[in-house]
Amino acid sequence: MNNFLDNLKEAFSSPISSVYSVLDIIVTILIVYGVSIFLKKNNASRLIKYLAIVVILAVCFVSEFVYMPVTSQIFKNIVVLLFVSALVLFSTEIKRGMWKIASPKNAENSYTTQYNCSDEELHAAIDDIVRAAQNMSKKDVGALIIIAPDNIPEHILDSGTRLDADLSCQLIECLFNTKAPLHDGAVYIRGNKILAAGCFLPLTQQTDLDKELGTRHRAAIGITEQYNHLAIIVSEETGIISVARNGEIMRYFDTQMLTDVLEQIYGLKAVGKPSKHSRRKAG
Amino acid sequence: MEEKSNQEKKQNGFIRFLKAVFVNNFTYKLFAVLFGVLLWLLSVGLGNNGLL
Repeated sequence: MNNFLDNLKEAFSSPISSVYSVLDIIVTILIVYGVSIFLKKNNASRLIKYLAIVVILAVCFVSEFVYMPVTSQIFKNIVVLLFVSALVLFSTEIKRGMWKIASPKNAENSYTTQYNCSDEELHAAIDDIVRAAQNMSKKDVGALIIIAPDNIPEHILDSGTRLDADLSCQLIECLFNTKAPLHDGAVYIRGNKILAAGCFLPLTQQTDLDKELGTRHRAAIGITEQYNHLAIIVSEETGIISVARNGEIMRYFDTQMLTDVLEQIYGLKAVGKPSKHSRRKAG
Repeated sequence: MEEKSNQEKKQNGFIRFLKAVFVNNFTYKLFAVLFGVLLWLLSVGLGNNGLL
């Protein structure tokens, strides 16, 4: 214990060492904050507590204070392994981050949660999306609309056709017209802009889903498992409007329910989570 | 009217700054401060060599 306190006193023994120590603490805090926010943005915030425990244990066992040479060696290697694992697991996100540094304009669009429009324009966009979904539901036109408030996966947008168009009910219906070349795939919407159409999404690997749910629904569940997006699905066979969020799908949405959930994700209204309908057979 | 709107802009800037520091991701900032300080104290106090 005396050695512990002596070491700390030595770090603040002179003005120069005090300044270095304070800078060291500030840089450590910034690094910890950066890693936490990176994990949060990539839906891996649950890893933070496990990483924190491993790092604290590593610091304790590797120190001169505790003589445990084998455990010390294991923890030294674990830190290196963690670093390499992060590079492998988050390779796409790291690559995207590097592109963002080279293209700051894209970075601003992808990561800010501030929409470049007024609340009235957001409400108008919500009305257009709801009307389009209702019209397509009546005509049994299949649709997959992704509402992305932030953390937009650039590689998924690149799989489709970039539009950056002003959102309108007519445009959404045109994009999902079965004769249109972009009808296959998802339409990505952020704020009152249609970012891209014809985007291909990762499918969920869940095996306990209702067999009624097709590839369109699986894609909606898959993308919402990985990102904080809202997916609106219009079934081509039944015209049923479903909504997927956080890897869960809720079916039989009407106009009001769809409006409520859109207002919630756009931050215009705090509402409770819509009740999850049981999966009923159609017809 | 213009002076008022300029004052409001300055206040909004200050309020925006306070919000950015104390509201946005506040839990993560608090965690970063506490964990960062703990990590530093343990590393320096235990005389850690070459791990971090």
